[in-house]
Formats: sequence, C-alpha cells, structure tokens
Amino acid sequence: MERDGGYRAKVTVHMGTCGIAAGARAVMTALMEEVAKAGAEDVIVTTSGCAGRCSREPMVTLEIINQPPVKYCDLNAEKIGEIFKEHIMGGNPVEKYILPVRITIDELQRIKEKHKATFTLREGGHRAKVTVHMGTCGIAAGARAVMTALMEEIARAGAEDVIVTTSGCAGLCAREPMATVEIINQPPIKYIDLNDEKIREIFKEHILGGNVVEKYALSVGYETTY
Amino acid sequence: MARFRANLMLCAGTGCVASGSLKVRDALKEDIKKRGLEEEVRVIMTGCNGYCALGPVMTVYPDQIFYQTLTVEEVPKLVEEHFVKGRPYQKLMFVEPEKKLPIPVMMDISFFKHQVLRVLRNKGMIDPESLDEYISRDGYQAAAKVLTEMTPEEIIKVVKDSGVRGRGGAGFPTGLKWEFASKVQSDVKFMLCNGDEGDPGAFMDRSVMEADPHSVIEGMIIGAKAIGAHHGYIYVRAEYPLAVHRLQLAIERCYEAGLLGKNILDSGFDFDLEIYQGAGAFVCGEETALMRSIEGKRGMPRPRPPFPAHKGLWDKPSVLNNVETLAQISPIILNGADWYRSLGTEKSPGTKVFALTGAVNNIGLIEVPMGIPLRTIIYDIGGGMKRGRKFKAVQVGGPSGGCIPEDLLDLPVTYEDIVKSGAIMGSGGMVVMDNNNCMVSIAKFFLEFTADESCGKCVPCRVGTRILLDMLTDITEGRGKEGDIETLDDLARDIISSSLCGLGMTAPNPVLTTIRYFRNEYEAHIRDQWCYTGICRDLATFYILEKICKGCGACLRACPSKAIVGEKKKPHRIIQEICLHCRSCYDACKFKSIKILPGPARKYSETELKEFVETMLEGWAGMPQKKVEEVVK
Repeated sequence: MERDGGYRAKVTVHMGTCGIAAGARAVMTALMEEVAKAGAEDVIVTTSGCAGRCSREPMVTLEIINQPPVKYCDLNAEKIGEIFKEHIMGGNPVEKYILPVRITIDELQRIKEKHKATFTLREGGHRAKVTVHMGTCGIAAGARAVMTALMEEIARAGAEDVIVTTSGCAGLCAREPMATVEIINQPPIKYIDLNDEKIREIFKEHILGGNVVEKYALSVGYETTY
Repeated sequence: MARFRANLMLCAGTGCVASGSLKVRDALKEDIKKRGLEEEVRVIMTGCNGYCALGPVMTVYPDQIFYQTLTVEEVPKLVEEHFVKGRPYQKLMFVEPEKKLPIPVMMDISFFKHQVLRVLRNKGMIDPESLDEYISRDGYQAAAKVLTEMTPEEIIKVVKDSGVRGRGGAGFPTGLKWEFASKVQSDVKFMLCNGDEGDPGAFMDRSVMEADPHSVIEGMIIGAKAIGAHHGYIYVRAEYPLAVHRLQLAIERCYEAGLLGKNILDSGFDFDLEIYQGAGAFVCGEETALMRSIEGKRGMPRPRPPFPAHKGLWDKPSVLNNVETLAQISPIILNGADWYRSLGTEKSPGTKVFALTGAVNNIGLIEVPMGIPLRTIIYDIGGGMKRGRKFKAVQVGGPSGGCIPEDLLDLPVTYEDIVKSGAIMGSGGMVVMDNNNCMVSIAKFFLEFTADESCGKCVPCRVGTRILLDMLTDITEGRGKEGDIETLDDLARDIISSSLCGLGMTAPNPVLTTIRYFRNEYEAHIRDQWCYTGICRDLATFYILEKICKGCGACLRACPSKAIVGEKKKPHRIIQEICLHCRSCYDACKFKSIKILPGPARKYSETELKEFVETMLEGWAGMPQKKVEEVVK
C-alpha cells in the first residue's frame, strides 16, 4: 500500500527541530502503535519538517481522501490516540485539538449550521419526536437495539430536526419494543413489536417520507407530548 | 458529527461548583460510560443557571427536565432511571413548597416561569468555554454586522434609540456615553468593561462573565467600533477566579479565530483586549478610580469634569460600561431598538438582572422586565418568605441602596421609581428581610461596609461615614440620645451633597431610608432602650409568658448558658442574671411564648417584671411604646 498508493488516510507528523523538541517523537511512536494495533492497512504515516507554527508543536496533518486536510496541534501520545480512534477510524474530527483558523463571516453561518442539531435539541423547534419506550419490558424485548439503530439512522441522514427521547413502560408489555412517532401537527403513531430493521424502515418511510408504516402501527393516538 | 439524544446541561457556576458539581460531573460521565451510553448522552458544563440555592442543578434536554441538589450518591440511580429506563427521576425534581408535588419541566417552575432572558440568554444553554456554541446562538453576528455594514454613527443611533441605560447602577444612557466619546478627536481611545462587582450579595456580573464570556467581548468590539477605540481592558476582581479563567479562555479563542486582534473578521478593524485583575476594593468600581487602578496607581476617584469621555484612562478618551450593559448590546444590534423597547417602560426599557437573596424561598439570579412590581419578584419568583415569616423590607442596590418597606411593594422596578423611594437601582443586589431583622442594625451593617471601603480621599466620606457608623453603634448598644435621629439625617444629607464620588454620595442611603420608613424603630432604640426584634442584645430582655408556655423544653435545650429553668409541661422561666440575650430561645419556641421586652426590664425583680408585662400586654396588639414609656419611667 505504502508503495502503490491507494490509501484512505495519510498522517503527516511534523518533525522539524521545534516539533521534535516539543515531543513529536512520542506522538509518532504512539500513532504507529495505534495503526499497528488496529491493523489499519489503509492508513499511511509520513513526516515533514517544521509546519511554521512552532509554538503549537507537536503537530500533525491528517488527510482523508476526498476531504480537506485537518491540522492538529499541541499533541501528545494520548491526544493522537483519541484522534486515531475518533477521526481516522471513526470519521469524526476532534474539534478541540484542531489548529484554530481565522473565522470569516461566512464561517459564522457555517458553524451555526453545523451545530443546528444540538440546538434543536436544546431550544426546541424540532419537526419530529420519537419516544422509545424503555421500561424493563421494553429493554428485555430489545428496545436498546431499536434505540441504537434509530440513532444511527438519524446521524447517517443528518436529520437535524428529529429528536429522540425515552419513556418508561407504555403499558402494553406484550408488544414491546415500542416507539411513538410524533410529527408536529400530526397525531402520534405508536409502533409495536419493533426490531432494528423495522425502526430503520419507519425512519425512512414515516419520519423522513411522511408515510405511516401501517403494518407496524398499533394505533393512531390523540395525545401529543410536545 | 456524532449525534446525541440527550444533552445534560450541568451548572458549573461558582455556586454549583462550590456545592460539588464537578464531582457530580465525573460521576455522571463515569456512570454513563459504564452503561455504554456515552455516544447517546452528553454532559455539558454550563454557566450559572440562576437557581443557586438548589445547586448543583442540571437541565436535561430535549425534555427540559430540571434536577436539583444532585449528589454523587444519587447519580447511578438517576442515570439508570432517566437514561436507561427512560423515566425522569422524581426524587431529584423540584418540589413546590406548598403543594408538595414534584415539577419535572424547568419552565413550569415559578422561579423560571416569570423570567425573561435577554442578558442571560445563553445561561444554561451553552458551554461557556466553547466559541462554536456561542456562535451557534447567533454569536458574533452583530459584530460582523457592525464591522462590515454600519458606521459608528449608525451604531450609536441604534443604541441611543433602544434607550438602554448603564446597568452598573447610575443608569446613564449608554448610547449617549458612546456618542460623547466618539466625538472626541484622539489617536488613542479606550473601551473598558467594569467587572468590579463589589456589592455584598450581588453576583450578576460574575454570572454573566462565567456563563457567557463571549457576549461581553462582542459588546466591547461593537462599542470599540462605535467610539473608534482599538484597545480595551476588562477590569475584573481577582476574587472571581472562574470568571477570569473563562474570560481569558474566551479572549485566547477570539485571538486564534481572528475575532480579536488585527483585521477582525477581515473587516480591517483592529481591537486588542486584555484582562486587568483588580485587588477587590469597592471604590474601584467607580469609573475614575478604576482607570487609575489600571494605570497601576492607587485606586482613588478624582473630581469630574473632565469626564472620562474626554480624559479617561491615561488621559485618553475612554468609555467604561458595565458587564451586564455590554452583554445586551449584540441582541440590540441584531433585533433593533424597537425590539429592545418592547419590554420595560418608556424611560427604563429592557430587562434587569437581580441577585435575589435573603429571607425568600428561592434564592438565585433572575432576569425580569423593567417595570415589574417588587411583589412579583419576591412572591412569585422568590416563592414568598421563608418559613412563612412576615416580609419587612427589601434592600435594593446593595450598600449604596436603601430599604423599601412593605407598603411600597407594588412599586414598579424602574430607575425612576426606585430612586423616588430613596433607594437606588444599583447593580442589582436584592436582599429580602423578614420581621426578625432590626432595621437599625441593618443600616449599621451597610455603614460598616462603606466606612471600611471609603478610600479616604475626601473628608465627607472618610470622616462622615465613620461618624454615622459610630452613632449607629451607640444607638444599637443603648447609648443613643434624644436628637440623634435628626443629627443622623442632617449628616447623611451633608455627606451625599459634598462627597467626591458615588461611594460617598450613596453610602448614607441605608440610614436615610431606614429612618424614613422605620423611624419608630430608631425611636424605640433611643427612648425606650428597646429593640423589638432582639437583635441588639443590650436593648432586649427575654421573658417567657406563663400562660402561653407549654413547658415543652425547646428553649431550655436551645439555651447555651443554661439560663432557662422549669419542669416538663410546666411554664419555664428565664433567669435574667444568667441570660446572654442571644435570642436562641426566641427562635426555638414554637408557641411564641417568648416576648422581647425593653433592655432595662432585665434589672427588675421577678414580681416587678411580671407586673410590667401585665401592664404592657394591654397595649401589645397596637403600638406598645407609649405604655412601655410610662412603665419604664
């Protein structure tokens, strides 16, 4: 791979005098260990000289194919481990270690957009709310897997206006796992006998598409909780 | 980006940190991790939530469930119930004192319900150490707007039209202040922020700096552009380490992001900002003293004019604004002057933050529209008086303010109305007192503070406050003389009219207002040697009324000097020779059988005392002084 190219991610550790003095070697060692441990064959590591920001060394530049490069600064062995796990393997940049760049006016709006989901959660203003019933009965029947699948779908779709909450037993223990989907201005729908497949289908059809998945629905209710 | 289904906004204001929120955070994170919920549930440390009396507090979004008095021990149960099983955990919910019912949702709790958040718009909503979260709530949009689209004149016009007045206490119109400074020609000007909050019991500015430091910085950038300043200082007292830390972090982030320093947001405007830590002298909250302090000199005021808008810090034109004032500048710029005026009154628009403390049930930080009656603040937001006691007065404006009595409770809270009552708005301290407070002692308490904090530069303040304090001490210790009240009143007015700065000009306010509204208490202290409340030890004799006493022994156990004797279920008696007049028995008695008599009564023999009480009892319901006077003589 190193010789042929075709890698997925490339990490450049800046090893100028400044970087080495600040501990770039330890960062490099830790990174190599992580790569070996994870058996990540599509990640390559290389070095360069000083990156010009000596006061923020040790630094690395991470390039994932088809994404803009990201510079991380003030690193140590622990931080690079986190970056490896979160960003290189997980795909989520570790904001707190990224070398700050100047913000432009357009950037203000972009940052706001990026956090929209978080603030929909805190400020309200959601379009849809899914309540997963997590009583003992629900959990025993597999509500946890339903919840995990739902969260995955939301993240994948980048649905910023959907919030997920939990409640206790919904009273119909025999038909758990259950979830209630409330789309604003529509009556709530209770779904029963769920599993991760079904909730994924409901997410696509009902929450995103707006069509109730009747085959899994128990009833149409009147009491909303928002 | 990772998605979370719940955000746990745990308060990390000074109050909650003191009651253990950092330990709760660690416990929460550990427990959430243990249960494998760390990718679903996130803990965020916020600034002051305001309900400090119940700390550590936490709000869970999206359900807005409010939890109070969290402990490390309760964390596993809370996580299991709420985040695993999905049932909000009742045991830690707020319980309404009267109805005994838990209230799960934050906005249903009366303490929060009546508040309108403008200055504290981000309280409990963002992580104060994150620039991204501030930007997500429209942060730096106003700065971007003024830097790219507005001229200084336009900025000043909006601020002037909004009618926003300085929240430091005096209420000078902010727009006008900026206009004066902008018109002065100078190559160097300064934009300053006053975070030297010194009133005992007040913590509005601290909370803003801790909860939302970027809002202050943004306000300063806008002000700097308006007056044409390129340097600024935030003056914060060193006793506010958390505020200093969060401001410092925010300033560093701003420099990195190009929101401070050269060419802010590529607009070509430069502004450098740094923190100056004050040593905590009360007088340094006064603008000219504050500026001298930054210059590295001893913090003392100087005569004005020249006003700081012409000659301020290092003799350059300067504007000094309070933290709370600056924090509301950016929403004014974004939403316009009319929006700002939609709350409050014609002359006092907008909202005001108060630190509500004292004898009310709900203690904490509140923000209310101007013009709201004091009664709503005390009874609805404050939840009424503690232990069902009777309201006596509220001290508004800290040591520079005054006491407002019960019959003025419907007074709307505005700059003009508060001044009419003899108090001042001040920075926003609000201390509620019940009928166990002696008003002469209260006046003395505040005078002790101001006499101590007087810088000593001008004679009226240095000597005058000391004389006032000595006279009040004499009165509370039984050495008051006929004519003292008039002398106090006279002297207080002289100090006000001849002092150099705001400290001296307002220091006598507590004396004047207590004389105005509670003159009878002064008279009783002086003429009858009688402090009804028993606070002044020398002016109180404690006596158990036989016919009410049930002989329960509560007072007997409470007495530290074993001055109470009596058998069970038979009336007890206080031995006057041993009594220390500490009032413990009075507070311990559930049947109100202990009465507070004038000081001299303690010298009476047992039979004389009994006779005295019987004579006095007749007049007990109304104003008893006259009767007492006769008997004492």
